[in-house]
Amino acid sequence: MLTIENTGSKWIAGLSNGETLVEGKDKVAHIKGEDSPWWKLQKYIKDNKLTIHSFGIWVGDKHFNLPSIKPKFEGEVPLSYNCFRKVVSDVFTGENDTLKESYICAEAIYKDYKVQVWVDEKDTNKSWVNLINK
Amino acid sequence: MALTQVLVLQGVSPTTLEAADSLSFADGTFDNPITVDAYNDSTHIRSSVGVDDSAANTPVNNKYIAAGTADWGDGTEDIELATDAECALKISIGYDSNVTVTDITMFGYDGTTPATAQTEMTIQMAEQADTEWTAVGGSGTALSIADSDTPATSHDFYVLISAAPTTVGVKSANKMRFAFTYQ
Repeated sequence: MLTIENTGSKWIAGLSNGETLVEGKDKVAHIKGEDSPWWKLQKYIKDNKLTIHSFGIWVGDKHFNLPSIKPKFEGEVPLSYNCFRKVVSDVFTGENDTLKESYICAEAIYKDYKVQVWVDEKDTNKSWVNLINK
Repeated sequence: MALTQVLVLQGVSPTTLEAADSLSFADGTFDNPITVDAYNDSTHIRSSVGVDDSAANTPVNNKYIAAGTADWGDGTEDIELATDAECALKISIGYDSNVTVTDITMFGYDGTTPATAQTEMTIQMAEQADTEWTAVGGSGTALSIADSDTPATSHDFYVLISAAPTTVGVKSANKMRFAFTYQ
């Protein structure tokens, strides 16, 4: 069995009502048996007719920010945001523990493309930016 | 909070693949070689010290016959008829809160470069209900497994797997990679 512990990376969402929600806290708490913080966020913004105005990843004091609705450097305003984690492992070959990678990815979604920020959850000094055609 | 990934060789009793174990294909008897260009007649879990950990569990074997057919012990059948229990592999992704699991891929590679296909062997894979095998080989030719997009604490995936050597010799340098996203 392969186990990957949460290393402390969190997404943070600024909402159209002025609230700021941090993954794992308050309305988007991580509680066993309940929806994950991400799906709690989706339900909360839908039920309250809110939108996300800013989005990013926090790892301790490191902040990885996507363009907001008022981009700090005058970039394009995203239509929406997404966030997920990716796990990559070698399996079936006697070396399950030699390759075990985990990343968190935050996406700013535009009409024709997505901007992704990836952070390595095992070495949070490593991050990457991708531009993906939809 | 932790995510778990459990790999099982199914059978009368399941055999869980532990960290140092490997999946082993044979001609029907553990450690017996398969004829070049023929497919496996048995599938085993091999421990790090070379023991057949699945010996007592009557493991399922999926044998590639043709593009859309396989033999899992009842003669040649269309692969989409394989039930969950008739797939050799069960992969379970668990999390303590309800998540979705998406963008799931599996492929063989040469053990060094994920984009490079495994050497000197053919690996066929199919998800349960697929109508055709996928000959996996490097990240560009991966098996794509359907998203499990209803949030839940456990997600199970069932996969048929079959392999054939294309030359004589042990093929243990090759590796199998598994990747997915969750949220």
